[in-house]
Amino acid sequence: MSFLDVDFFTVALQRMRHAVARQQVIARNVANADMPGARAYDIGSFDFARELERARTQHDGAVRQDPALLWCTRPGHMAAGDESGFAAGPAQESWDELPRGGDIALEQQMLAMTETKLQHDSALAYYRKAAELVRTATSTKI
Amino acid sequence: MSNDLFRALGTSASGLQAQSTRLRVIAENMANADTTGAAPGEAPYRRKTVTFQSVLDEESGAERVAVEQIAEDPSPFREVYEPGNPAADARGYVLKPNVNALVEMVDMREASRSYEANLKTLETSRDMLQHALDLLR
Repeated sequence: MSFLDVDFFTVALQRMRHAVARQQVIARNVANADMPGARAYDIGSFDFARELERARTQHDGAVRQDPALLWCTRPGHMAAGDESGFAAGPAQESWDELPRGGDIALEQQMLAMTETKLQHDSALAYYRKAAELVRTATSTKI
Repeated sequence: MSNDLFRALGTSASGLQAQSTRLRVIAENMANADTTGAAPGEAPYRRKTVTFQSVLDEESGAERVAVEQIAEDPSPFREVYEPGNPAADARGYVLKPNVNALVEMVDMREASRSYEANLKTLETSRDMLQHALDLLR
């Protein structure tokens, strides 16, 4: 077992992946905001329960019951589907309907971006704290 | 994961480039707003417009924006009565470019706003990447 296979690391990483995937979609929206007829895309919000479930699921589909003991996988195996596992779809609601046919509101994208950055940074801070915890536990100094 | 952020950086950069091309064309239009033909019957400067298109970058898989073409605005020229102008025709009228300063200014504001938005997105992506790298410290 590796120290980094513990649930809280996996979920924190997954949360960062979610933020990064969303940031990419926002970058696409902002770059295309002036294109006639361009529609806004977004990624669904982060579902903690689902991600925890996913973190405990092995690549063969079996659910790991005891995270500390039964976690065994082959590092060479890659997860199926999208690299990040977060698919982008048309945004649910837009603040604006532009005269040339698009619906990408820059203000809304800026807000989504701020939100994404905060989520990314908080997951990062969490990951750092958890790593410090492991470091303290493995430290020989008392 | 960082790959996604690099893609976001690439997309924002393409947006910046497209908007700066647009600003360049607006500057050309503004600078030539009074450029008439040299002789009677010669056409004056014709306003240019920029169109964008969405391009999929095959290598990185990122969706980018690019200038599709710089086309000419087919709208008619203005006719101004200026008998003293060397480009005036027999009736004393001069053909002036079809550039409307108001339209150009509005277009410029929009381009500059979009440029800023792309820049902000780029900065945020860069910060996220930087903070992730800071984990190594």
